[in-house]
Amino acid sequence: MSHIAPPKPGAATESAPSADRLTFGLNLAADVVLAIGLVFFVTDAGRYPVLPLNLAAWALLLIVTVLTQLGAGRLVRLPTAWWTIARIVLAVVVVLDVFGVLGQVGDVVSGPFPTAAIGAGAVLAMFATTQSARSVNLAVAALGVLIAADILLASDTAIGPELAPGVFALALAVVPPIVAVTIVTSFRNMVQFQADLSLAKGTTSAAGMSLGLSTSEELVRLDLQAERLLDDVASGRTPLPLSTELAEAASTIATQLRLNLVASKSRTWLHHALTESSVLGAISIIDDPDGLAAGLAPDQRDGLLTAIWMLAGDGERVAQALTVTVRRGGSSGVQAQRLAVTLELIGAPKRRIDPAAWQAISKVGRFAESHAAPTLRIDIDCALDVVADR
Amino acid sequence: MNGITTERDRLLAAAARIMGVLSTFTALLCVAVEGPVPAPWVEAVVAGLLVLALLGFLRLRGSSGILFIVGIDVCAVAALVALGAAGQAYTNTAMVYALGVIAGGTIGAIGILLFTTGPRIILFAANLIGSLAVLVGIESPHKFHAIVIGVGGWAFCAVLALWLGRIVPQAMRRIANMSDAYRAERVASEFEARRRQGARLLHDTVLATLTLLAHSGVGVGESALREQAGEDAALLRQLRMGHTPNPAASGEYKLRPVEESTLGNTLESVKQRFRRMGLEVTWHGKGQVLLPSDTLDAFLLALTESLENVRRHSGVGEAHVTITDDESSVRAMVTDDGVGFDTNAIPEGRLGLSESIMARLRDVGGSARLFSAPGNGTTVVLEVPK
Repeated sequence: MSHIAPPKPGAATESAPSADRLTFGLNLAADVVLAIGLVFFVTDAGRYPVLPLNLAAWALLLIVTVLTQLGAGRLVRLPTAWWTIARIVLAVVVVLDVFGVLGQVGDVVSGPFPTAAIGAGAVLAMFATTQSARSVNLAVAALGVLIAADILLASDTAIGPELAPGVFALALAVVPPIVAVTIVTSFRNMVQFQADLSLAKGTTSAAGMSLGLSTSEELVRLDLQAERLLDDVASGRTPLPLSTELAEAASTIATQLRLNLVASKSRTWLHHALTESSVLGAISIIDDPDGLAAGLAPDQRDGLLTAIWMLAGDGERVAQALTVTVRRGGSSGVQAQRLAVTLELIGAPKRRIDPAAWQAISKVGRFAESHAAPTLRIDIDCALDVVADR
Repeated sequence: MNGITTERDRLLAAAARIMGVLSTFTALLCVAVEGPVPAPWVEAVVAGLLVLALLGFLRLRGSSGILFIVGIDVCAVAALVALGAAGQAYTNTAMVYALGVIAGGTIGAIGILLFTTGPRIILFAANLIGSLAVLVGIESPHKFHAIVIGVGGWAFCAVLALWLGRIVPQAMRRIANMSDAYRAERVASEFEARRRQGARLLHDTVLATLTLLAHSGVGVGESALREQAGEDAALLRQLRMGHTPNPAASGEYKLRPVEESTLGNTLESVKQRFRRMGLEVTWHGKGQVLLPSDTLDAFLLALTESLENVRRHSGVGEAHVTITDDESSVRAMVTDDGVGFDTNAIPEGRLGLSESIMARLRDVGGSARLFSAPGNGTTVVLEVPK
């Protein structure tokens, strides 16, 4: 009897691969660093002046490590403030460890120290996938400052060869988390960029002209707002006449509904692909007043989108401005048989253009590129398949 | 497929770059703190080679060719060997640590890039064995530390490289599959948008009610307004649940399912609506109007708006609507006995109907005419083709 409503728009966008996939490998790498620290600790253990402090430091460190990794593997439920708790515990570890060695380097303790403090860096690396880069980097900086201070001030070593273990200790504490954060950031950027292109490519099989994702979202939203408002009025929850703000709300909903209901808002697939992109939306301008892009075949569309994305971004940075112009090409009658598509790119992030981008463009048509710094301009001459009815 | 390896290589290069830069910098620091040594030129050579390697790492990209990578490798290995050879004569702590860092850090970082093809793996093995051999060959009390650093560094880099090499292609394949989900999402979204746009009469009613509410419901009783709002909300709810407007064979416009009591804009509901608002509408002539849905839409809209004009401007509480038809068209005459107005005073073509409604009427081939004179009431004639 009743129809099942079509799936809500937006379901697919929640399933992009997340940086959590990196967690296992990063945790394993952090374990390697911890193992290094542990080996150094054990070989020098006999010479520590106040061993119990160091033992306590290592015990705490191992507990934090095990809990964090079990939490990452979903075997243990960690409190939401775990990141804060971990940082506090790590601070305690560093303090304990430092006092355990009491700054005796060279004569007594020959290896890198304070070993548990070094391990603290590895533990920070384990949080790279779940915390923001800025947060982890700040913690790493704090750790680095603490260790550097300990090495330079607490030990009376002059700048000389005996400082090397200290330098290495600092490096071992600081480098692994920085590497982890860098990898996670690069991964996230790559995923965002590629997922964006994938979303755009969803337009290649759609009709030439359509209303786009935002129209439906708007209509759903506005209809719901109208329904709620009218329901409140009907059930008596809202007094009549309406208060000024509610009256304004009613007026706004009505106006926006009117705007969105006009069917002539159809735009080309290219327009939707570029304007709905989170990466390129802000920088692109489409100049296609007659909606000629609608005539391109699916593989031409695919090639054009791939090329635009590859030229305008490299996964980390994005060009400053992109203009796509579509006009009739060649001399033809009423039906456009050829199109002249022009891409103008200002501030392209890559100095050398990926050959795969040229391959993609060649699927669209014959092309010619020219540089007039700072603009890169590509003219493509496309043949349209006018036999097929679109 | 190509895109996947490109992205994987780009991420591996990013990892190798940061690891290489930081370790080489650490090695340079260790070399720097070595202090006075018997053979300072060895230090200079090693430092120079390390600086070259550092610069190489800074320029490392996913697209860097194997020659470039081998070049950095050569610099690092040469630095290691030179330092190791000099270390046969003398060793101090800094030198041993530098050796360890170069082996495990710098050369290990290059190793991140060497898991992707067969020949590269051979190079990886050569680097690994060679650098560890140099470390084993040192004579120093810190030899053990250096070996641990070397092995640990290699292990760290290997884990990163293997894991990235697995995860990146996985993620890219997943993203490629998302494309299908996106397509389906766009189709669904398009369908939804058109469905809602198709429910034009429903929306027109809703818009009329919202506008009334926005203007404090001037001239309309409170309970009438609430009732109308309730009907409109119920219609919107039906739309939200997925019912679609469906012109049935008789030409009447209503929403499925049929057994719901709330009506769409049939003539009866129009009459009820206006009655609630204080205008008594009397129908004459044909009760059923058989028209294609587009035409019916436009016709009813124009009719409703004309009645609204009567309600607002005529000053009387009664209107008569006469519907007639012949073979080619359907006509509605809306008459009232109100104050009327001077037809010369209104702009040409406006006829008291809004632009969008006039446009729709014209689109279906219909027309509207207005007859009025002050004190003599108003007549609006709407005509649409069958």
